[in-house]
Amino acid sequence: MLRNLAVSRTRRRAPFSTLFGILTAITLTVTSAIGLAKAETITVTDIAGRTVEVTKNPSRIVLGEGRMLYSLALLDRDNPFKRVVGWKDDLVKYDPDAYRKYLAVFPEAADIQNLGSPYSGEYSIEALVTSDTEVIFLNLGNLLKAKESGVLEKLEKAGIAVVFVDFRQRPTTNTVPSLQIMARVLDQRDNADEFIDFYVKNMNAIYGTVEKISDADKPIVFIERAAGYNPAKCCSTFGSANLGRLVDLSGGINWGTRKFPGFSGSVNPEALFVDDPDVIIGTGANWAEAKPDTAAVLLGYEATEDAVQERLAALTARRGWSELAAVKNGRFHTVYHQFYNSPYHFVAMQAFAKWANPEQFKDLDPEATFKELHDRFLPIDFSGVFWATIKQ
Amino acid sequence: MTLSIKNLTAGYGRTAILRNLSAPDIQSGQLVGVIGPNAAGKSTLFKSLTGIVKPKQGEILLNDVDLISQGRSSKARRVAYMPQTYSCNALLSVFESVLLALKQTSGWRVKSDNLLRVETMLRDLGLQHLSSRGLSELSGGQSQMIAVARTLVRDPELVLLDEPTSALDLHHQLSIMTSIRRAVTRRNIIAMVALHDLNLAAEYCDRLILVRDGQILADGTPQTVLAMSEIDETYRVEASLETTKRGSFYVDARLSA
Amino acid sequence: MTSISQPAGEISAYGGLIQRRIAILVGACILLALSFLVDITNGPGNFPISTVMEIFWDKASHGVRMEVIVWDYRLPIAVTAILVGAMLAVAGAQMQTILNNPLAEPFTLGVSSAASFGAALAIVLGWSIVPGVGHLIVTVNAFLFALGTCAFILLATRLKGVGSETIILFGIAIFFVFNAALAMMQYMASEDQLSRIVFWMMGSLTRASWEKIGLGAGLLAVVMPICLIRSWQLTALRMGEETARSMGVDVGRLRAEMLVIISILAATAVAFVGTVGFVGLVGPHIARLIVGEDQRFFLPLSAVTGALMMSLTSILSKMITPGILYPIGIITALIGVPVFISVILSTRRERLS
Repeated sequence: MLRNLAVSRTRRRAPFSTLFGILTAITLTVTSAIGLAKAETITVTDIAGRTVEVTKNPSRIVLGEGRMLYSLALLDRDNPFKRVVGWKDDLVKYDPDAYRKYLAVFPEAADIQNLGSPYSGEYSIEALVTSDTEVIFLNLGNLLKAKESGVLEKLEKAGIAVVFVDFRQRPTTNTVPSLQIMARVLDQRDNADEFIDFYVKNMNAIYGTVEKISDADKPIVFIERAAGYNPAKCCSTFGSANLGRLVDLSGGINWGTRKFPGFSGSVNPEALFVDDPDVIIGTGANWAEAKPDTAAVLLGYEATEDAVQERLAALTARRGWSELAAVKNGRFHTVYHQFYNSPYHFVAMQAFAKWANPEQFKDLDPEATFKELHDRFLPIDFSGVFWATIKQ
Repeated sequence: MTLSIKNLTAGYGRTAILRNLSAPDIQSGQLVGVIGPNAAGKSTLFKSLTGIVKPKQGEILLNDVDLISQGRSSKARRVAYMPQTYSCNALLSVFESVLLALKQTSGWRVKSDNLLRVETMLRDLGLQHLSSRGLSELSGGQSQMIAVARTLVRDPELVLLDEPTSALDLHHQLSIMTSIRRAVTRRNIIAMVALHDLNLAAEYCDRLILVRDGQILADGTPQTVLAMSEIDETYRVEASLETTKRGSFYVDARLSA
Repeated sequence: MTSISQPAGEISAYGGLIQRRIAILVGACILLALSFLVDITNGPGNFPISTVMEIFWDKASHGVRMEVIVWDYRLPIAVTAILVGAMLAVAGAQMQTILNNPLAEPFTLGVSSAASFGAALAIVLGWSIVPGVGHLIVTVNAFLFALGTCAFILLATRLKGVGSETIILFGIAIFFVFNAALAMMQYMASEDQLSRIVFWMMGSLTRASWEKIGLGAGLLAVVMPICLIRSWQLTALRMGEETARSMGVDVGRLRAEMLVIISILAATAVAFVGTVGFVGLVGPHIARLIVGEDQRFFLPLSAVTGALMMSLTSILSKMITPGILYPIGIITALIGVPVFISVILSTRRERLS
């Protein structure tokens, strides 16, 4: 009964939309009809350890963070947007390249409503309810905020299942279970398993070799978080979390790990010159649309090698940087920032591994890996530049 | 030296407190008591004379020079005013605070002449033992005395003291009034003192001005003014002027029936 | 025999007081110089003082690497700390004087929340008041909002000729308005932007640059003499508004002048390093407890005390974990409070004499 109402509401919207809108509405009608036919409830334990009752194979979901698309696309490969009724616009703002890439293949992505930050307390639960959302995926990093702001409670009261996943807090530990949880809910376990095999195989290839490298031979790696994002400021880095941990696991010694535990810390720039790290990796993404004056390396699907090299050169041209060993020795690199919040982070780890120990990892080809990832698991093609090393 | 006040109208915002107030000339060497009930306009009269309140109309002549149009600093040199309430939580020593009254110009150094004047002033009032104390350590009587010192040290032509004896014990009331009396005679200046205590007024003043509703009701020697029926009327009491054994006056008053 | 009979007893006591105060001021300056030295000789790289000094006199003496460390990183931070500390403390001292309120500091007027809102506006919406300022957008926005707030208060007080309580009430109202607006910005912000806002508000000395230093030093060089010329009038104001007026002080004009000065100082300091509370409040208090309120000494000592506090903060912010810089806004309170309490407890009133 309720679902029929929902259908008629979708239909009523149709005359105001484009032809695509009508097509979407029909698709949605069909999917929800199927959903109704075999509406089945399953119990999952999400990554926050909460036990959640959730409709299996829901037709209307909301992403608490737009960048969850990186994971969703691995599961709903035919059309990652078919169930998404709302999200936060972080993908649109901070990875416009990826957004446009998907938009070209799936124009309906433009119709997804931006619901803003789910943790703001002002989050429109009403919009979720009126769009008949069945499941919302939230980020583990914001569990506390979701509880504090009362959003969690309100969503539960409204009968919307909340499932926490995590690709950022503990990427190496939580990526596989998070994908499995999403896959169970979305009824896409085969797709998930296929990707997880690929993920584990690639991770193990790195781990196996790293084990053979003694700590004394590992280079010190400094990650410059969002290098050049704010042209006047240097630097912020990762502590032992996230990319910092990925560096440690891929055969380097992350500089920040020994300093502080968190995600982001302000570095005394002098320390760079004193500790003179062997390898420097600046993260970058296409932030130019959110922050036009940024000097960051604009990595992503639309990046070109020349533009990337130009930005890299500008970063090494900062006063005194030409004196740094990493710059002198051509071990100054850049990597796509969004790997820090994506199940594709093993690709970045392959690049890290090669940069840290070129000899031991000479057979590794991260680009081939990333291409294979796109070819086998994603509905979009590989393009652009996602990491680079300064040309001498 | 003469102070003359003619047709003075002054107040705050649109409310006029003083209405066309004129007073017979006051000569130097005179200690004039300004008496009258609360809200009669005594403080406003003083503030008009110092320039804190700008009169709407009228004329204030001190030695034939118009005070109203005179510049801030030259007026400050001629007229000294001791307000009814003043902050004394500033971390300053007594000596510094009296010296402050002499310094209106910029400059780091203090003239030794000014230091000497402060010292003399403090000794005149018998306050030298307080010189190094902090203002906030003083008792009520002491800080009132220091305020008087601050007012007199500038050697003004006209001194205005707004209720200098309020909140003081008998000893301090008498010693303050004695000091003022002595300063007026010695320096040959004009002093106007707002007083609530009619007996103090009778004892120390040469002349009394009775103010009510922004106008002068009576003016003359204490003996004449205090004996007038206007006193009874203004204060709503039944009063009579009596003579003490040593020949001074006191007001014997009780509430009118 | 007694001191009363000596001809210049009170005068010589006063002279002694002045000399003691000059000695205190000189002593504080020496402490500040020492703190500055410690600041520039400390860092993740444990270079000997002699090396740092050599680079100080001759930039190129130890190669580009060392030149960058000393001249691009250590010196700007150390100097900015001193300038900002002095600016905040002078602004606080004048604020407390003209408002006759010991709890006043520049941020009482809502200056910090206005600046934070301006910064948040730049961070979240990329919206700039002055177009084309590039990466200075956050700094410029913070400055203009702080200044605008002060200008508004000034205008309001000039229009109505209101007293110090009304000014403080205005400040509180503005504080709440901008706090609400700031919260709005925070709601709209992404996590990344949110953390930038929070970091901005916690304050950082790494936003230092030689251009900013030149600006700040120039500002202080103009403002300090102006304040010192008015030192007698300002001291008189502490005796109460009516007393000051009767002494010939144009209280309204003095307040307006000082408000302008406070505004520019506070806005500049906030734009340079973000919101750093407490220095503007505690610096003047410590100075007052030590030398009293003769502005000839109170004002310079406030500046030196504030500068010293910030300089110590700078040292501490890089010493907790070598290589990592802790936000100064946190540390000022951490070192400020114990110092403040110990000064209050150890200073007896007699110290004044």
